[in-house]
Amino acid sequence: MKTGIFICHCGHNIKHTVDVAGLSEYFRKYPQVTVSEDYPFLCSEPGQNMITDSIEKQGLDRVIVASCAPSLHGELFKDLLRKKDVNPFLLRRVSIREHCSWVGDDMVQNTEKAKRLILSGLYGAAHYIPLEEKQVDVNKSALVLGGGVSGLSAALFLSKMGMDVYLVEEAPELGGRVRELKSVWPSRKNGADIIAGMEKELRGRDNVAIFTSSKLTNFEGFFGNYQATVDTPNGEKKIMAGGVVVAIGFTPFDPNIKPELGYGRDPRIVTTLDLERAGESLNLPDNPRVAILHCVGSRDEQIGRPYCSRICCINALRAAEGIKERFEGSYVESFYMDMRAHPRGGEEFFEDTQEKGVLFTRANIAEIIPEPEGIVLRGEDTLLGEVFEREFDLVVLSIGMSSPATSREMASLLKISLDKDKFFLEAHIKLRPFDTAVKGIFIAGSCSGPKDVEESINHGRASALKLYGFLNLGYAFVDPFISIVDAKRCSGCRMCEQACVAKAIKYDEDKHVVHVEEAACMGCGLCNATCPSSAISLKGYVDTIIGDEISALLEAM
Amino acid sequence: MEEKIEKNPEIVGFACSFCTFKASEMAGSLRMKYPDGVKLVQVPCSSRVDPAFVIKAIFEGADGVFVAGCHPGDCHFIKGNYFTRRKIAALKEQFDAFGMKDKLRLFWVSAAEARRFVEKVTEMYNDIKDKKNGR
Repeated sequence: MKTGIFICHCGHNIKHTVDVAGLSEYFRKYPQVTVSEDYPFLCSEPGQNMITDSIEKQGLDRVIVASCAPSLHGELFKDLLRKKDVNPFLLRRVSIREHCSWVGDDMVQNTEKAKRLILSGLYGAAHYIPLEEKQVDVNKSALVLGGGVSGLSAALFLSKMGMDVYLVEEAPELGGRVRELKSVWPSRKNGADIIAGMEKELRGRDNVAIFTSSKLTNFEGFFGNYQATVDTPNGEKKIMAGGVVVAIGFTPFDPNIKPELGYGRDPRIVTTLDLERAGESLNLPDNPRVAILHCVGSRDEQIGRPYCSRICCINALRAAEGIKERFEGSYVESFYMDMRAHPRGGEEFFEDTQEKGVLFTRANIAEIIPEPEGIVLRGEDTLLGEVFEREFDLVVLSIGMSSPATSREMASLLKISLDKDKFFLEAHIKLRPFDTAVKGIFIAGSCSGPKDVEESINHGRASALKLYGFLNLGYAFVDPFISIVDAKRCSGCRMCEQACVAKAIKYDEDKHVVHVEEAACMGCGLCNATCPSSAISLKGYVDTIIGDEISALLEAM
Repeated sequence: MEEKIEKNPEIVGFACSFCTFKASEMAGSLRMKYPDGVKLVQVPCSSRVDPAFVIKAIFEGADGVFVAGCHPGDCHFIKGNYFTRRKIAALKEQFDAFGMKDKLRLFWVSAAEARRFVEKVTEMYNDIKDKKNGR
């Protein structure tokens, strides 16, 4: 075995508290180490050349790069190996910056810790084997769950790019919540019109199948070859899809969760959505006094909704504007915590509304008391620090967004994760905001956190584009960190089969052994830790690798 | 009087790639400090941790072992950490029988909780250090 150890100074970041020169000298005494060098910046071009030159000249078959955390420059160093026709999975990254030089101050202690960390890399990598990135065929069709505005835009995009699209919507008609909106800010278009336009375009395309009043009941398979079972009014339907866009939207916050708001006990207390639905038919006196409450079901730790719903400040402004336009002599007061009119043009809209005569009071509302002659609001003006009591004819609750009612059920069907607020969790908040942890399943719209109409449409298109990028290739690479069964050792006890969440382990009734369906395996290694006969190993994390790493960390080799 | 030499413990931690290992990277980036005796083994999921690894680490001289993964319900692999929870609970009972229950800890640290990671490992390190030095 010819191992090359490369230790990075990272300028002063590592060198400052780790004796890098001493370490590279130390590792030269190991027989399996052919090259051991340190360099100011391994990620720089001369640094990269140093690695590739050593691979070529010395014929290295293991490369250990001790530098920053593996998540940084992950592909960069792998590519160096690929360039020299060495399997990229023979590379080992050791983090001696984030896990050593940056977390301790003592030179002696840090150098000792860095030595052990590199040692564990050295002993672990000794058991590495070349791994193949496997190729599987991909079904060029997409399942879109949810026919709201983001689901529709995703479906339209995918269909136009030539993918077969199956759109599944639980409600009898498409359009979701946007359909109910009389005027969508800022274009002031009728929500139903927006939807009708999209629906017409979608129904006119022959590669689209739409299932309304339908529900996903089962979901199996792996990227490129998912099998979905959908319960439709015309019976059960099986769908084969390469990937999925989940766009099941949100549930409007139910004000009954906060009984002190008195919602449902008095017709004069309504939500912004009720106001939208009722429109002109709402019965009000000539010069009505209207109170608008912000942040109902948002930014409220006590009821488990600590987040900002992003849309409700604009909704509140729209409600205020609507009433002011209908009744010129009305008195409209908006009670807010903070104004967050964040979309483009939102701040101007806020100012316009103020100019129209809507009063804004920063306040905490403590009590809502329905009296025959009006609804009394009791609260504290948080700018003046004074307690007030005022009477209104109508109280509008600007409700926030709650996670979709079916998110838990959907998450367990699709095996994707939820965040603490029960919205779907993206793979990475900044770098992979559309992906879920499961390959080929994307999230779109407000099921992954509150979004307005414009954002939902964009999110839908972006997810569709990402899915298209995966599907259009026609094949996919499967992560090589998957489990493999040694049939000779397998006793057929099937304990791994029960443990496997991905259902990737299949039992062979004839041979009485199990095997792993490579494309379905997620690579968690649970089966490896479960198997009583040590017959299953997770490639890249086999028992010998982890075992020797432990020994090396404790210098018990 | 002869001055007593402080004995520093060795702690091996198994950190899940998606949560705790990420948190430890972040702790580093934020230049948070924690004892150098804490060393991590990266595993794809806390459920990959075979109880045998924990025992091996103890046999080879670790004064403490911790297994750390995503908070229940947040597992990247859906249910891996539930299996870990059961397994480590069972292992803890065994450890208890040998009077070394304190050597094993299980805790949850999400990718965002760098501070919690530092607090948890430092607390464990200090507790074990106190015991080791007869305090």
